[in-house]
Amino acid sequence: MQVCCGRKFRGRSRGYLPLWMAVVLGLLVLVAIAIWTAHAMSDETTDGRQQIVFWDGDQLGPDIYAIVNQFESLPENRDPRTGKPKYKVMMGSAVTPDPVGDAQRLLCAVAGKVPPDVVRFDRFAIGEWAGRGALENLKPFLNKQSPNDPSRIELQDYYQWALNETSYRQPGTQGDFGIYGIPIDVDMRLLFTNADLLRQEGLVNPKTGQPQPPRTWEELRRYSSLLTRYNIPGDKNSGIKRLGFSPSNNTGNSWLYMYSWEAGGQMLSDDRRHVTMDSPQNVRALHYMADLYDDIGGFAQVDAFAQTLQAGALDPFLMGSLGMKIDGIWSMEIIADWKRNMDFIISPPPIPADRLAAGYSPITWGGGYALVMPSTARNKEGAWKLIQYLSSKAIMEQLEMGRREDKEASGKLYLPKSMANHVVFDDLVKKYVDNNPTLPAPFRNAYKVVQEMMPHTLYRPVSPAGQLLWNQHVAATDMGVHHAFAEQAKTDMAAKVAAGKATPNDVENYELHLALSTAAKPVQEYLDELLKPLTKETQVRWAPWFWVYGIIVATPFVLMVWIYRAKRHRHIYKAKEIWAAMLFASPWIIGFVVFVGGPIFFSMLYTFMRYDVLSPAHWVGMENFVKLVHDPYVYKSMWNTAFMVIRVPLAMAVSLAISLLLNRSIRGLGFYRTACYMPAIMPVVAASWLWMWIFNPDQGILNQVLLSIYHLPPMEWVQHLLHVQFSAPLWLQSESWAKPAIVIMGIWGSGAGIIIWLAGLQSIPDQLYEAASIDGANSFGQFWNITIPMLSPYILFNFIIGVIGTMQIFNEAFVMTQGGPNNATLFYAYDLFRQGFQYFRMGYASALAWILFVVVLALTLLQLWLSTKWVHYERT
Amino acid sequence: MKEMREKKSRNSRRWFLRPSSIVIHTVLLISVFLFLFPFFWMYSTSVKTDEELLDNEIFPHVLTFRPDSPYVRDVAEPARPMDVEPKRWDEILPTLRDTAHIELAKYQHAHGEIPSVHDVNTEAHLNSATDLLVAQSVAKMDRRLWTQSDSTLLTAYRGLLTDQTVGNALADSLGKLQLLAMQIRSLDLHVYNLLDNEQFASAWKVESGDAKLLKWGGSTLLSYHFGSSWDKPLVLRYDFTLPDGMRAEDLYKLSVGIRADNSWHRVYATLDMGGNEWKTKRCIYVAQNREMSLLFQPPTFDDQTIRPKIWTTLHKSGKAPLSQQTAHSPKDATLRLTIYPSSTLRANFGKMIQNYDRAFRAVPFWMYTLNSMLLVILCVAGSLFSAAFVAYAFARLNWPGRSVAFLILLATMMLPSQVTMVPGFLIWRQLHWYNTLNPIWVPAFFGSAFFIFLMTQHMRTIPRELEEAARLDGLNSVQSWYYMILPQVTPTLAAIAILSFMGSWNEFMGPLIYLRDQTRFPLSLGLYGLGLMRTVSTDPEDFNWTVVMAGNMLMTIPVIVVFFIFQRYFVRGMTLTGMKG
Repeated sequence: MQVCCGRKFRGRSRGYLPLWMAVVLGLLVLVAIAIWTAHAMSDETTDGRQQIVFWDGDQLGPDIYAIVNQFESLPENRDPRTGKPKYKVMMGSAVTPDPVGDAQRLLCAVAGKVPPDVVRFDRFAIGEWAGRGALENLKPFLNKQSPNDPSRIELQDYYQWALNETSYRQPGTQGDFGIYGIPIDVDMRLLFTNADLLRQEGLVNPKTGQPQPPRTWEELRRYSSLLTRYNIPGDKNSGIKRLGFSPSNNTGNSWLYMYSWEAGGQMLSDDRRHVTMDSPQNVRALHYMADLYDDIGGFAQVDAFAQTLQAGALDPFLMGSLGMKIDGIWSMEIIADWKRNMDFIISPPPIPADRLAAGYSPITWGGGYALVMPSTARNKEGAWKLIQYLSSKAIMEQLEMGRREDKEASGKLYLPKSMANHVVFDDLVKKYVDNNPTLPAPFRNAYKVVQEMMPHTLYRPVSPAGQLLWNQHVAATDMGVHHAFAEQAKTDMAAKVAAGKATPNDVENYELHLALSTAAKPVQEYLDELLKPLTKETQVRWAPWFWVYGIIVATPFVLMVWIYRAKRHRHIYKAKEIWAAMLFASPWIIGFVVFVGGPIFFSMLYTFMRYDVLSPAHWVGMENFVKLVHDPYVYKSMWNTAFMVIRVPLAMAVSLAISLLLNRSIRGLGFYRTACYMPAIMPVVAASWLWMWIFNPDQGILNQVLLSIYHLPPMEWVQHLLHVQFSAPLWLQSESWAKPAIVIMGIWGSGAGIIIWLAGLQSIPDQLYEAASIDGANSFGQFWNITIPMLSPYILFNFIIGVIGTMQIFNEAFVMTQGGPNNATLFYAYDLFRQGFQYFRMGYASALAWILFVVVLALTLLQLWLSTKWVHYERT
Repeated sequence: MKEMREKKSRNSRRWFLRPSSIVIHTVLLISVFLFLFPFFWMYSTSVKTDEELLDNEIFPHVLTFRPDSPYVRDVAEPARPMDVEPKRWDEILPTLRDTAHIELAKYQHAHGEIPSVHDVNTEAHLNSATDLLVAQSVAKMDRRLWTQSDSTLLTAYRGLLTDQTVGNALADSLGKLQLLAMQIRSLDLHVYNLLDNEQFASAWKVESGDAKLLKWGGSTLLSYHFGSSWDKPLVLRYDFTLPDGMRAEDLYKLSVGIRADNSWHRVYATLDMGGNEWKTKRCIYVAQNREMSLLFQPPTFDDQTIRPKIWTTLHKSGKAPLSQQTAHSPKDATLRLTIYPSSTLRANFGKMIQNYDRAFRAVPFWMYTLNSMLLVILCVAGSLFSAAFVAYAFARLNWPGRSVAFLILLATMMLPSQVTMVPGFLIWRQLHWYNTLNPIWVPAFFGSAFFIFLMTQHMRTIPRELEEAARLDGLNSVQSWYYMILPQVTPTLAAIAILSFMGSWNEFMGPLIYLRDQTRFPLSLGLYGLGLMRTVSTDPEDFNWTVVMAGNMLMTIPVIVVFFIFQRYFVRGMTLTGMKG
């Protein structure tokens, strides 16, 4: 190939910026950025006011900004000498997809000693954070309040259970409970019933003729069967058309916790040191849940139906396709927003008939938010003042007024929030419910039930292992309703059944007990570990490790010089070229040494520690790896993740095929390219909502197409011949189809690959094709002998990146499936995330991460080694 | 030049006519359909109203110009209840209809048709009300009744047609504009109730236009008629005195509660108060057949906050003209509501942009966009520079330890980011860069492994001769990188530009942990934080699909534009072929 000389070349390329100019411009930009950055950093010193950083306050209502304004200018919050405000409240939102289980933002801020001063915090997480010393005990502040303080917090004004939920002491110790937050609002779960459907079924009170919601478990079960309709009447396997009731968390919010309490059980012993998840009462509760599912075609059918359902306006309860649900009172808002004239009934959740007969009253369980102060908050005095101010009655009511305005401005019905302060709540109900004749009657009755149920509200035990307990109780439910242990139970009990000593009911109880005890085991282990604090000797001292890191980082440079010296006489390397290489690689080398390498190094150290980020770390040697070997989830998630690797070649093939079409000179090329790239652009939220709808077993477009294909004559014929009936899969709801579904989704979204293929296709010189066509090669020959070899570096790139990305697959599980059904989409990175950020086991998560790292590294090395045989590079 | 263009156009014509090219177009169009469908779906959801979302139809309804109010609404045919045999349903439906119709007519006769400045078509009204009443009543009937005799069924059915249900059906089948309540709030957050329901009819006046304020069923009904969509607007006027203890400058907000029809006519307000005239610049649509409040607010502290802007701002437009000034005392005030008719086009336009408008006003949109743009520009510039620069060392230069370094480069991608997040955070915190955008864009200048790897793969395919020639010519390595290599890798640079644009535009985790101050949020986080982008909403009350999809659209469009611009660089001819000669 003929190449012109440099000088001429420079002259030729008109419009190409000369190098010196590019360098000067680059430097100028750098200087500008540096100045701007320095300006941006000047945030710490404002106008001399003390900052109070307040997170997630915007969730209290739109008027919070006005109220915070008011707080700043209160006379008592002014400097007595100058008369200027003392405080500046910095609002920030704690934006998390799931405020309980996903605390990266707060965790990082606390670990970095830049925590907010006040946070609106889910009370459920208080045990977890307070147990690790991350929250401030507010009791001293409460005790210090003067009796005539206008914004004095009176604890007796609060519902006792809500206060209990913010109180914590280390399980097994004696002494006072600390109060770690001031409750704001409360919620609870109640039974919602569609009154019209009860009327249609004749489930009315014979005396009044009014619909009569179920009061006992047995009634609820009967009602559910009565109200459920199938696609083919009477055929439970044909799919559900209308659901009577299910304990699924997609059709309400009941969970095993609730049924367990209803049956008189609990998840933790009274002293909160023992997991009692497998108690007989809990077996009964799980058995009841399984029965509810089995009555109407089994869990998979119900789940397939439930997954089609959406939040907001598309709530199935509004659409009339769900007869009853146990849901939080917040879902009243949904009815108010979208279908205010709906005829519904709210009643206490049913309990077993025998317990009702024994005089137990119906119960419910609640939760809600509280204002908390991190123990490392920098402005504790100001923070307390803000908490006090926001908890005062007048301000609470004012916040509600803002919410009301907000609702009414968009034409929606306002419902007062249920407040943890019962004085405020009673007031609001009187004002906006009792004295508001325009509020439809079902809502008015609902508030009566809410007020009646307040004294019978239970709450989840405040425990440092609360989140793990929660997740494992969900896992137990999952295993139970999927009958994961049915086979094992059958074999174990075979002898007893044969001897007539056990009924099928006993076998099922035994089976569910297996599920519960399997799920309970890790929680008990974790709890034991937490309650036995490690000694000071094992505490980690970080300082020496920075030196170790420095030495490790310096070594390669020494080695490089040494290699150069050793090989100098063979003229393999040129000093000038090495210097140039160091210059070119310098951005990456500096970046690696300063920002990337350190975290990697320290995460490796974490693998030998017990470290929860919030409290000091301790050396534990190989403990994490030993645990890892015995953790069944590791194997399960590893297999799930490995399965997903099949999507890499598939997605590559599809995107390469499209790119080949898009690499021609055809009309409308820009349009085609943009269209094909669209899936890669779709925001994750929209894309996952869309795919959940596409995969919907009943109404989803995919199954509708599949079914219509099955009914084509040739397919009918094949089915007839094979004596089978093809059925459409349940996709995301089926254990065997969930992973393929995610593979399909990945192929659809392979648009990002198109860009890289297109870039690669451009690097193939035209002459090669011209020469080939002169030689008479057909287009397949050209593709096979020119395109593929010339593209091989890109194929390698896509393959390596694809494998790395797939091994860390996370979003699909996080957003769409949460690891279900029955852990079929529990991916390795998702498990790791849960360990690190939900259960605060950063050491264990790091051990998991490093195992993954080793596996991926081995795979990559293998690919690189194989690549020498097929990848075509220019000689170097 | 001209010749070339001719050749090119001849070429493309030939391409288009070839059978193979028809095949290609067909294949492409099919894939375009598959790939574009979601986008279309996202768009159509974003222009729907809440009620249309419930209908489960793909396309939103089209509105037409509404000359009169009250008017008869379109009501869907009553649907067959799930448990009823179709045959039985078809047989009995006419009887059910007739029965309902008779009851409705009786009620109508006793109570009279709704008062109005024009005639409401009574027959159409009765038919609409019938459909509504039948649908509501059959939903309440025991399913076993349907298998019993007609007389049993009809007795039960008649029992459901009470005065209350009949009256409601008649009222609900009309679109109407009612005035419900008027309130004033002062800056010290006192609430003053000025007017209620029927009081409007006597206190408010129709200043111009063909309209009347009528007392009806305990409330005030505004009945109007527009001759055409360019007819003069309708002006309502209300003179009032500010409540005791409140001065003109204490006004925080003024709210008028109405029950809207679905005409999508536009309301503007003028307030003469304390000798000044205040005007709204933005209109409010009268729409969706529901209760809503019109909030008017002069500039206050609220404007400085970043709360959702749900109100309409009153702008000071000068002194009130003397001729119109009724206010002799500084406490007298006049509120005028001007209702402009919306033509078919205007009404549909209003409906289409409604959710976008809500998304815009729910967050400080432009502030977030500016932050995002800053971030994106820096990230793209950094990625382009660092990838092109560093890759040269890996692809073209020979140095000891290169392959090990390359492996380390790849290895940095292999450790899940979750476990390096906290130590990474501590480093940036140590640099005092918490609560700045720096931790998000600075790393781009040090190169990301992904882009460096991609660029390395491209550079490795460039023939050696290029640099050898450059070296002979006396260019040093920086020069030969800049003059020889860089022009060759344009397609990969374009790919990196697109990918890093998309990455930083949608960047979520970085801003989430590093930014404390809401005013520094980029759009990705800003929209999310206000419940607009959530998948799993823990507060379903603020979950609003239509606005969420509007927000998603606003996030997506810039990426599409950028892609469309940059994909031009994926064309043949920019690479080696251009080097010939």
